[in-house]
Amino acid sequence: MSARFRIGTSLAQACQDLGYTGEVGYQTFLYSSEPDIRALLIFLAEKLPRHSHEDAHQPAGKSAVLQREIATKIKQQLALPWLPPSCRTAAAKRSQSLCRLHRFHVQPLSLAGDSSSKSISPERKEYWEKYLPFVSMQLPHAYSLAASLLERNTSDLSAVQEWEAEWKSQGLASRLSPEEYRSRKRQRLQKRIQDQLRQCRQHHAENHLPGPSTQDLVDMLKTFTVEEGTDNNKGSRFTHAQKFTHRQDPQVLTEQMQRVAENLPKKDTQDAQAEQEELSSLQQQIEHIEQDIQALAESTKLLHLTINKVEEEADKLQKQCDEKANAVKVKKRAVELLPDAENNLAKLQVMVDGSKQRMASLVGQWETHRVRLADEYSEMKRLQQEKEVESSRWMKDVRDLYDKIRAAADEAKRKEDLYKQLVSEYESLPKDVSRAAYTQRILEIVSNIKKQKEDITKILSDTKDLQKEINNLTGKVDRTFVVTDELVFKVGSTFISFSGYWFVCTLTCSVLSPAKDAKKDEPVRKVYKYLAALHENCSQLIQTIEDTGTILREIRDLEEQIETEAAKKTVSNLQKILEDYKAIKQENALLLSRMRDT
Amino acid sequence: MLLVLSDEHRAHLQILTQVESAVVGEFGRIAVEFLRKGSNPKVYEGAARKLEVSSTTIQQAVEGLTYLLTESSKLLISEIDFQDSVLVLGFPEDLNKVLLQLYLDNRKEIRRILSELEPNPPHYHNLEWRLDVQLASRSLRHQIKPTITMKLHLKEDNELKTSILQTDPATLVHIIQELEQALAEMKTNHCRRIVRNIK
Amino acid sequence: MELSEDLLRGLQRLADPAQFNLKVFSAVLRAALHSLSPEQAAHPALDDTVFQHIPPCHIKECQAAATTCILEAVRNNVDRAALRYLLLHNKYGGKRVTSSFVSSYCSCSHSTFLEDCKFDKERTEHFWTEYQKHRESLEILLENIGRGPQHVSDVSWRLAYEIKTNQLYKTYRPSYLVKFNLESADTSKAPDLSFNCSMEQLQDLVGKLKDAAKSLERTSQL
Repeated sequence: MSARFRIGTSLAQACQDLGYTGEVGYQTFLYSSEPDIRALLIFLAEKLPRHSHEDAHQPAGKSAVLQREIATKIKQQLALPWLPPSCRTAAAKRSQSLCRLHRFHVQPLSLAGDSSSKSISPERKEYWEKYLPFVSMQLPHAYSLAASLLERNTSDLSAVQEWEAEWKSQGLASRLSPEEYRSRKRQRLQKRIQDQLRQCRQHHAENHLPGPSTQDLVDMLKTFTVEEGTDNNKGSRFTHAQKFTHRQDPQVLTEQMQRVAENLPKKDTQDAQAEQEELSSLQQQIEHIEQDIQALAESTKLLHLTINKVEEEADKLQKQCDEKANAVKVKKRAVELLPDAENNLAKLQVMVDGSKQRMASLVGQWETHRVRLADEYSEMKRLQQEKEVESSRWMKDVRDLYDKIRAAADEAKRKEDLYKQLVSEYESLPKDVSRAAYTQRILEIVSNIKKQKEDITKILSDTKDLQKEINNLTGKVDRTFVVTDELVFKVGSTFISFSGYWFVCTLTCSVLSPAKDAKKDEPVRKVYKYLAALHENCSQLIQTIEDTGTILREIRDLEEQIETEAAKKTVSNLQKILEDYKAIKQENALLLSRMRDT
Repeated sequence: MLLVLSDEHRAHLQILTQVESAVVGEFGRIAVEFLRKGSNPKVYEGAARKLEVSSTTIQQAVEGLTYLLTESSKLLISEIDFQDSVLVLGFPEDLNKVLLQLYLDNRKEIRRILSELEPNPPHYHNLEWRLDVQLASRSLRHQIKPTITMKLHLKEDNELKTSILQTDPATLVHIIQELEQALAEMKTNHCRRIVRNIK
Repeated sequence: MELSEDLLRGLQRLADPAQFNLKVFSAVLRAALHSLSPEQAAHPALDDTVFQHIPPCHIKECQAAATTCILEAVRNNVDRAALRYLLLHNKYGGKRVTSSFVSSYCSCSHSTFLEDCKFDKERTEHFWTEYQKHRESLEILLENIGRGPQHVSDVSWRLAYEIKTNQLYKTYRPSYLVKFNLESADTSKAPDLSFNCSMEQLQDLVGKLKDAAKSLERTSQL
């Protein structure tokens, strides 16, 4: 009970926190009355955040569509009869055998590029024209062809995108042309690789004293490098040897042939003998000649070598000769100058002085040049800085523009998608719902309202008329009374002589003007008295009627109130609340006693 | 069907006549234990010390008893047959009863243990399944392909092997039909007659 | 659906009525479609007489472009409107504009690609009808690329009544041998899966499979 009470109270509190103005308490939830709950729910429904509601709706729709599609697909497949694998039709094969036996196997393809571009070399163009097989011929079957083509497209696209992203983030900032940027990047990368390798090697050398295995490796590498170094010299020998064996080849062949010939049945021994002799003599001749050739080749080589040597020697001698000639020249000059030594020394001094002076003047000239150039340089530098600032501004503009373009493109794409979705939604909506029906109904409602309004105005005017009549009547009554009163008064004045002075005080009426001498004679007085009484009674009657009316109205109001209160079931609610109260009390007592027990 | 006991076997069992029936029960317990877990020489030695006989005798007795139990369980001989077979041993009546009781109590378990010795090809153990719908692949971005992926656990020589399989709805329905038919086959008249007649 | 610049250039060339008249166009298209059919024997020769006046490297380029375009269309399940849009305008979509903007900003060498290469209406229609004709088989082709667990295509069973083994007599119980036929590329391999099960085990298996079928049923009624 207490738990229920607590939940009810917290709910009510929450509602009040949200700003619900109506009466709300825990009894609203426990013993609810229809109108109260209705009002509360309307209030809460209005409070629900509308935006998130819409958002939640959208993906739900999409997933629901997917769910439905899946459901129909499964239903369709379940409805298909099962067929043995060997007699499946194409449709059955598609659903009942997955035959997913081909990997997504990508192989490189060679495709013809833009042959009209000028940067393509003619060789390549020729290859494309004449030798490049069609794409479809490059791979053995359609599966790998499809996979390769798709993958090629994807990788091309993603390469472009990647480059774009990089260019946008770093390339633009570097202010280089794309080609420069690329080459710079390549250099950087190479350098980094080199550094890394070097570091690794150092690291290795420091940490590990080269163990036996690494030592071996190093040795092996060394031998390789040595071999490579000597390769040029050795290579020639190798090729010689190769040539040699090749040259021997025919010999071997002839020998083989000989052997075969010997094995053949000798039909004509004589002939064969002669042939044999001839052959052997020829063979010998060939051998001789070959030996001669070889010897000659040897000697040629030797001669070549000696020629080289001699040439080298000649060069050397020539050089020596030149050197000596130079020395002789210098010495000759000195010897020529020697006789007039003093004079010549002075001349030399003068020449030295002259060159010194020239040097000084040149230094001065250089200084002036330098200053000018330095000024120019600083000026240039300033200009360059300015330009840099400007270019960075441009760069910023460009980047902004770029972002804008991208944003606009994204927006456009989004809108297009939205448009598509809306179109499909519109198409999926039922077309035959006529607006006419709705308008008709609305019009009907409007006319009804109009009619009701007319009724109301009629009743209002009736009420007004009635009011006017009532006012008229009361006025008439008043006036009649006044007229009658005057009439009585006039009649009375004719009998002034009879009237007694004492009569004055007997009647006091607020309507009457003070007429002291009016009521003198008896009948008149009586009439007047009756009149006054009549008037009084009438007014009392009217008052009573009015009172009755108000009371009736009050009664009606009260009845209504009673009805609403009865609808709220206050009494039963109160009873229930009382019961709740008792229950809680009991529970509390129970808990208390239990606590005491423990 | 009667058991034919060899002379050697009988000799091995003779010790049972020299001890009390409670000890015979103990022997029976050891024999069953032997079937469950293998031989335990320590137990033999302990028993030998208590009864003041050699441990070989004990071992022979236990093994003889074990053999008696396994043979009779293997053949699934009836109570009367068992009694008649044991009668040959010339044991007293109460000892025979103890042996019979031992046989009846442990027959089921011994048969189970023996059944483990059968040649054991892959055996069904469990099946897990999952409903998948393939929605896209690298080469086809929009597709709806419902499949049932199954993980079949097979048991072979106490080792679990699993294989992952998949199938499509139509084939699944077909497989269920086929296997239900297989199950129903056991209830046909033909099969029932065979089951009734092979006893 | 997006295509790389090389391929777009190929399509552009294919759309040029001065170079490829309708006959040649359809021949290239047919060749592209046939090269994707699993029956490789049905290769029409591309060095037909119709191609005589066209440089072969252009034909090669166009064929590759058309083939890839068709494949991408199938892969992305492109509808008619989108394909028509692509073929009629052959412009770069949102992202491509920025990229070519950047590249033209950098070097101006790609600016020519911004020009529309328009497939005329006739060509587009032709393309679409040919594409529709082969779409199903192409979808199957692409669907079949990929990997998955082994597919059970059939089941066979044998019922045996076990009477005795060398270890145990009078066993008297039914024993089932179940064989799952698995699908494989070459039938010679036959990697079928067979196993034994008792009646209870078979009941268990069938119950679980029935669960699966029930869940399928339920899913189909969503």
